[in-house]
Amino acid sequence: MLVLLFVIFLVLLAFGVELFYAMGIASLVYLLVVSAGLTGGQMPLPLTLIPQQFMEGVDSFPLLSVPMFLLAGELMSRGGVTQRLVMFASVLVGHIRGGLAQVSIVANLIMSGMSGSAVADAAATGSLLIPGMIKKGYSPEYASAIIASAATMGPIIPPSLLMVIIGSMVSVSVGQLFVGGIIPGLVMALAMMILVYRFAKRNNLPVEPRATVPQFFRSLWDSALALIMPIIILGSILTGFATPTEASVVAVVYAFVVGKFIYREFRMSEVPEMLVSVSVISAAVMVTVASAQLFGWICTAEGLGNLISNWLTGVSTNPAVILLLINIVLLLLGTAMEPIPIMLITLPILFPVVTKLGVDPVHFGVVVTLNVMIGTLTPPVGTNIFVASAISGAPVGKVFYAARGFIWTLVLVLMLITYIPALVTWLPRLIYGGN
Amino acid sequence: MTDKATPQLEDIVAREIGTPPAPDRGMGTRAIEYVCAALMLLMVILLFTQVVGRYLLSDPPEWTEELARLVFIYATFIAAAIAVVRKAHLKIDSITDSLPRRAQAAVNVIGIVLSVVFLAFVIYHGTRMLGKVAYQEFSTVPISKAVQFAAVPIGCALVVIYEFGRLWKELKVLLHGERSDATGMRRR
Repeated sequence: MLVLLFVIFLVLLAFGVELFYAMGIASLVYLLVVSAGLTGGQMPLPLTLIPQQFMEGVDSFPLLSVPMFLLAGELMSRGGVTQRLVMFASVLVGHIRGGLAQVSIVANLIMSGMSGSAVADAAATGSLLIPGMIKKGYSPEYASAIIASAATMGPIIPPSLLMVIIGSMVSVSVGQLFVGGIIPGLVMALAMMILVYRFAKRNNLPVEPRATVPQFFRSLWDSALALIMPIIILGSILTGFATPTEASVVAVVYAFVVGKFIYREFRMSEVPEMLVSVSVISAAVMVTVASAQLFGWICTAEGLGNLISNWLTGVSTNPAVILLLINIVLLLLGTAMEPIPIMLITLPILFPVVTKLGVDPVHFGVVVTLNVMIGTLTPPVGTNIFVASAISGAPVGKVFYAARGFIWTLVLVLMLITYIPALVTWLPRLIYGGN
Repeated sequence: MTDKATPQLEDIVAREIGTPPAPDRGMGTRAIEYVCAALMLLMVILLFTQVVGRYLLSDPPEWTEELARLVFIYATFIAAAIAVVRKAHLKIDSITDSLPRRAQAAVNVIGIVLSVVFLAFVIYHGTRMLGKVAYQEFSTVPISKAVQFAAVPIGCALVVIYEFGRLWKELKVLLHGERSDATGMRRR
């Protein structure tokens, strides 16, 4: 029966049917076959299981932060927050070898602390920095590759939409996942800055003039209100003052007030369309979550977890080997699929198996998040690369090629956090206690 | 590589950053969009009330969380209809992308018909579900759980309407060829 379920699902998916329907249709066929008694001996399942599981999937308080963080991001980019952050990043690191490239990484690092989505970060920072880099003599494809790669930090550094979705699917605290992403995110930034430094030295890329002290303070003052935002979001979650969902609405209100009344960069008439656009993106994710809940319920009922678990433990019972296998499989899936679909399909199955072997759930959550983000840089389907190449106009194939150094660097970071779990788990344990 | 990626690009940017509304959308679509915007705004207000109540007035209102969740569920299933028009639903790139447009239309027609059948089951059993939960209530507000569960059939009914619109366009392509491609996909 599992075979039937997966064959229908994969065929529909391959023919371009939306995930929401593909998982739903496969589940429906399964339920109808079982109800008709064709499998023999199985208890028939009522079809009201469908609406029931749909509701089970979306009736979750943490998920409310998804549209809220999206809305905060929208308000920030239209409200002029992004421009000020890029300016600040440029006085901070512009004088280092590879000036604007370093600025791109630092700007994305700061952006990551406010928005939850990598593609939004890539679009926001890329539209400002890619033209600047090209003007300074960077090749369009390298400029695009930098932005696309730097934007992968978005979902690792909190807040993170992907982590909220993980938290809603399996039993792990969103707050702890958020905190667990901080050190890996910083390691990513450092690794990419070193890579850029070496590349810039070899190719003799220009540096920006070092900012004078008054210039530095002026830019700090200009962007102060924007810089406070990640401090509010992270601070309120870290101190346990607010849940991620509450922090997300604070971010919305803060971004609205700063963008509308202080920077005055958007008009009230733009707000309704922002709300509609955010509700649509959120809905597209949520109905897929609903459908995945139904699909996942059936997989569990059919004992898929045990099947995979037996198979994996047949290969090895060493968590290190299992994690390596999972990393390789997810990276391969990542070449053709986008982060959210990969997580929705694989996590409910993999999570119980891996945690049973003694892997820390927070550790595994962060490893998976970084893994699927690398998938946004690998051909043939790499969303971050597509967006960055759309901005620069460089051919997609060339940008994929230019990003290869970043991909290897990030894979190295992935291996690092996979095999040194403390990089992920040390900070959450320090803050939340526990073992 | 570039040629193949270009049509995808629009879809991806649409999916991830949000698409602008179609300028020729009808009154019905506009009305639904306003409902979506209003529900989002209501969510912001409810959640912010909760934060203010809890941290400034140290009097946590209990009803805000449940109501915000209810509003979120309605926003999800109603905006799912607009997501059909704006091509925002998550999917992976089809293996039929390189086939002629007409062959793609044939595959799409089958996909949409199956999807509509699935949605019909969801609507029918979603409605039956209402009777089962009618006597349950939210824990903090005197609202029947049936109100919450009604979001599924209502939303899916709207989605079906838009899927029929898409089916109609694909059928036109199938019958008359590329010339009457009215799906709004710009192709080079």
